[in-house]
Amino acid sequence: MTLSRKTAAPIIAQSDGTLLLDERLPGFGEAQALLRAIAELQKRPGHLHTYRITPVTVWNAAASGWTAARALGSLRALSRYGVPASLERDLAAQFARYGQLRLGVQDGELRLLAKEPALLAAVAALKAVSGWLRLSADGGYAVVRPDARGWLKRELALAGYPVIDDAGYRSGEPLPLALRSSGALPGLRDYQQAAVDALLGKEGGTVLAATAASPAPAVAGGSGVVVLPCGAGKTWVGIGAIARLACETLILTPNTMSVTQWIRELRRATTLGDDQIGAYTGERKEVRPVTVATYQVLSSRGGERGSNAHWPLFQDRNWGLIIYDEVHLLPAPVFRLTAELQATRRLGLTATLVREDGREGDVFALVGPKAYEAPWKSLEEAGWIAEASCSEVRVPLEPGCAERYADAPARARSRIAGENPRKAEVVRALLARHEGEQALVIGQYLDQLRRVSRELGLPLVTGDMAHGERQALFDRFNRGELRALALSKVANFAVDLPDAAVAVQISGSFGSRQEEAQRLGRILRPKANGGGASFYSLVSEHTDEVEYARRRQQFLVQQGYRYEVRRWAEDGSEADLPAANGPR
Amino acid sequence: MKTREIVGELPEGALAWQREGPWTAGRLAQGRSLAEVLADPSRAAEWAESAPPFARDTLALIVKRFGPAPFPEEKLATEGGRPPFGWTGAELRLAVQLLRRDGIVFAMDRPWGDRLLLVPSDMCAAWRRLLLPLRARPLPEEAWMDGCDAAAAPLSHELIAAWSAIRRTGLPLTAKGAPRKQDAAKLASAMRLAPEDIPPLAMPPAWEALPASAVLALRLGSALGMLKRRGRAISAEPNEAAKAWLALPASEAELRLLEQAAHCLLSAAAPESGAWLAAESLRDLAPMRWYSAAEIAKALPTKEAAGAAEAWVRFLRAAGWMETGSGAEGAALRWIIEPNPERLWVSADGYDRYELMPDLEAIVPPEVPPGARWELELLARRLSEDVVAVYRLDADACRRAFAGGTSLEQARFALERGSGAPLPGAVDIALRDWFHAAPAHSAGQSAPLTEAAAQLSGAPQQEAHAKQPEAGDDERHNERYDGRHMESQDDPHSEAPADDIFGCAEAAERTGAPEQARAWDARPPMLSRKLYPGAEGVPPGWLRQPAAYHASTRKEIIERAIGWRSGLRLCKDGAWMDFAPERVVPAERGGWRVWGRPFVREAGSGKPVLAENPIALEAAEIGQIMISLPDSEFGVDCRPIT
Repeated sequence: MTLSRKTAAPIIAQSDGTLLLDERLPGFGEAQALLRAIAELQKRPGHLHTYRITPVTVWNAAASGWTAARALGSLRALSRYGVPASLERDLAAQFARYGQLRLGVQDGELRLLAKEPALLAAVAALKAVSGWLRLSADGGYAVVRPDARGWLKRELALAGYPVIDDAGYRSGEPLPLALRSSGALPGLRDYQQAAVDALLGKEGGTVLAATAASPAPAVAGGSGVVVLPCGAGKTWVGIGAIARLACETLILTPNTMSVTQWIRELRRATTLGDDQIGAYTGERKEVRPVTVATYQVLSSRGGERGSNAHWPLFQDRNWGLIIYDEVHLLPAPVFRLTAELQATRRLGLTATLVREDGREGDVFALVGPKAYEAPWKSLEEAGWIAEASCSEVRVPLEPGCAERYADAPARARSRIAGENPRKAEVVRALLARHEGEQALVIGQYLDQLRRVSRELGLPLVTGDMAHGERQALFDRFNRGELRALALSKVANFAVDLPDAAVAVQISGSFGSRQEEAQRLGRILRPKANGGGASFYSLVSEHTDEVEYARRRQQFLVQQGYRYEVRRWAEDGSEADLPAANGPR
Repeated sequence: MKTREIVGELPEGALAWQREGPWTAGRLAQGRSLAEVLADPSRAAEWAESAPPFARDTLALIVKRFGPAPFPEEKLATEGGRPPFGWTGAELRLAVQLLRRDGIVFAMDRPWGDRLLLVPSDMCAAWRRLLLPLRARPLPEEAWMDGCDAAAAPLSHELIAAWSAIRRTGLPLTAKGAPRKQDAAKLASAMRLAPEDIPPLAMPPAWEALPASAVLALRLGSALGMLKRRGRAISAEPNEAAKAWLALPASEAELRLLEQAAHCLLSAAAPESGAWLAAESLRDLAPMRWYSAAEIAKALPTKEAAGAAEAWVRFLRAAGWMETGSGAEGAALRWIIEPNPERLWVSADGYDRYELMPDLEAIVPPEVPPGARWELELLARRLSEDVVAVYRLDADACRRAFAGGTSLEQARFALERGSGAPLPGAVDIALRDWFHAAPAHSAGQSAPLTEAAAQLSGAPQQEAHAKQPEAGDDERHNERYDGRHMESQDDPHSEAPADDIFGCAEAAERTGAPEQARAWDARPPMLSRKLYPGAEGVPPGWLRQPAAYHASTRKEIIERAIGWRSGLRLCKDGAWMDFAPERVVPAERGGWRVWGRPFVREAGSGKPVLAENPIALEAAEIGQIMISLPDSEFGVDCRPIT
């Protein structure tokens, strides 16, 4: 592969489907447009961006009108070392596969149709799906069990056979509403609009015939996931989709704080009345045209024989759309239920598709493919999220603490390092440095948070705090009456504190990349004064916390963020790490 | 055997006349060594241009039939007696003498009396390119798209990984001197190269049961000087030759590896198999162009070579050097490295550096020299290997490197040189953390790794302390990978022959003769009429010009020519012909007749060649006649034009 090199071509195409894009070379813009169409961005930690072509990305490209010849022609022209033969072959094969199988409704039946009868027979013989299909006498189509629509698509996609789902979605119960648009509410930003369009198409839903699978008239369009950085207004994408579809909607969120925020935003941004918006949580069970529920309540078991008492919420109402907020947190029981709800449109919202449990594939199969993603740095450059500087501050362990750390078993060490008492003085100094800016101090361990809260006189918000009390503190913070808050992991998601400009992370959940991203997200809302945001991660020096921090930062580094690493000196000053003088 | 090895073994007598030869004396006067002069490919082109055609054709015949393998001289005579060779046995014998004089062919005597000739392997490839080029036309570029096989990464990448594993742990040997089966199996399992893709390897018996891919990795490592035997183990300690290879640009390093692999794998193949010729001829094909496999088979110089090409292509594909496919034009193949040293072109556009990313990954383009990969293997974990390799700097690897004696500064230096830029902040911090976190007492104490780690650094230990590189030191960033910095000082044993890991069996196998029995012929080449016994005694006219003689004299002339295996120029029915007599037999009605082959014009080239079928000439049909004896003393080419 050392030959036929086009020195200035910006793409390196590999036989495993990864594509590296060099942003320093001419042709970057053209190449980026190509790769966005046929591949997905995996990371952009420096000037080399990594994309990956998968069957799904190719099928998505085919669905958008790309052909194999056009994609390959462009890729060849822009690839430094040419296109490996195997990649060419795979690309052509995946383009050819798209459109071979189609789900549709004929004579009131949900049917699987194929361009080639032989393909239909081959597919029907697959063990994973054969139980859901009944081949017609002439072999021209296969009748699909209505409740298997989601599973069938998932299994066939896994087997390499994409299915175009023309069976449509139920339109749901109509719900007239409109977006409010005023000076304070300027409507959807361009990327939010683009996300809605990517999901639903520009025209919105085309009404199809009623079927046994979806008794109400069905609409075309898609389900999928929208990936936007924290602070970029994912809620607005959801609200935009509701407004476009004008149908009853179920919104699932990770916690009650988030439920409250969704309801507040829906009231603020749409013409829906209070009686049209309900909260379905542990405390309240309101089922209204737009209902906001928590994953937790839907996952809790309470019915007979362990069945879920709250699942009728999904089925008993004619929802036209289900929104999964923070879809990367979707618990397994809700996944299972989602598989059976394929006639209902689904929208997943997240800041990162990284799942610490590695189940990214299930999100794709059951909620939908990624429909839209805006890279963090792109939105930062456009001013839609605040420019953030990230610092890791290495804090020496307090002497007694260092001894305990050294003697502790491995499993106890991370907590000792996380709770290093010297971190409190660093927090104090950082808050002083950012005087005049609103700040959040976020931690993992309640004892540590209480101590810091006590020492620095900061109000503390934890999961145990009553919802109303918590909201009251947030409201005071948002009004500028409080300069700083200490927060437990409740701050990981859905805490809307738009003016917070400084976050000090004093401890975290091991190496969670997703938590790091979410916490940074707390301060990314653009500031009224146009200022930036400062994120500090305090890490106990020479402990396991250093490696955990490195792992935690990985996602953000791959998004293009840089961490400056400083050392908190014994005299309380901050300095560069000491020069390397060889191992000690 | 390579020229340098042969020259190293030649007796003083042979060296003396070699140095005085017309093709060497002048060049030696320029201060070059005899081995350098004899192994200079540019000399080959010059020689071929001015050499007598019978010598050139004889060399082509040798290369075609025997390649670099030793062969008995009489076998050459047999091959030369077959059409379409265009010269007589006498010319062939003289050609051999000329080739010996010019240091192209070497002769050795075996104890039981027969004599072997050989062309050194390094120059044999050059002669093949010059005298037997493969002429094939590539398929039109647009004709090929579908049905192509996946290309693997080039073999060097896989070998670097395998040798690095040996560097980390060593490879113990059994009492019989071979690796243990489980170790060899582990080595093989980490390789993509499947045993069935590898041509048969000649091995000492203790090695025969081991996976071929592992054996090949060890053999190539040994041949390149990357591996050596230390007592009852094989260790990875590059010697000077290996350091030079590690420092080569990637394309050149791959080419050298291809040559070494061909040498290792094909030296054991019987010359009749055509394997060497096929492998060498394929190197004429232009890289990154598709060729029809059927057309290539037709264009190869012999049908044996055509038969052997398939297996070699299979190996090349498995080694990541060639792609194969099948499409509208049938089976096709293409090189994805540059296989021909004469076309080798090394750019200096900066792609020979890898990219170190802030997320601790190193993206290694194909042009990066093997030395940089060798260093990365020590400090990082390889995540993937494709067009580019991706390594991730890794705490475990760094701690291991540190335990083996590598300092933080050495690691930083190596990475900055390899990437040609200051380290990204995150990388620098990570290195400091990992090297600092390593237990101080372990530095330099881990015996198996101490030597290995010392191999890593761009800066030797002493130097690292004396002059600490600083970020932004452009001169340092621009420094290429350089064997001088790669290793610590070799110990005196490091220059032991590369074949050490196998013992002497390999060397014997490569020359076809037990080493202790090899005796190079020191006698100077015979370039006078003495080459033809009794030539001084025959009437000069027989050799000078055709004349009419009595039938008995004509018979005598013919028998003399048969004895010398020379040609005749004669007039039959008023027409001149050149004729190679083979035997004189009695005629039915008394008298005699001579069987032999006339020289005819070869279709296409128009060159005179021996006719396919022998004919008989009656004594009475033969008019004027003379013996066509080549006369090198006067530089006269005696091949008449028929």
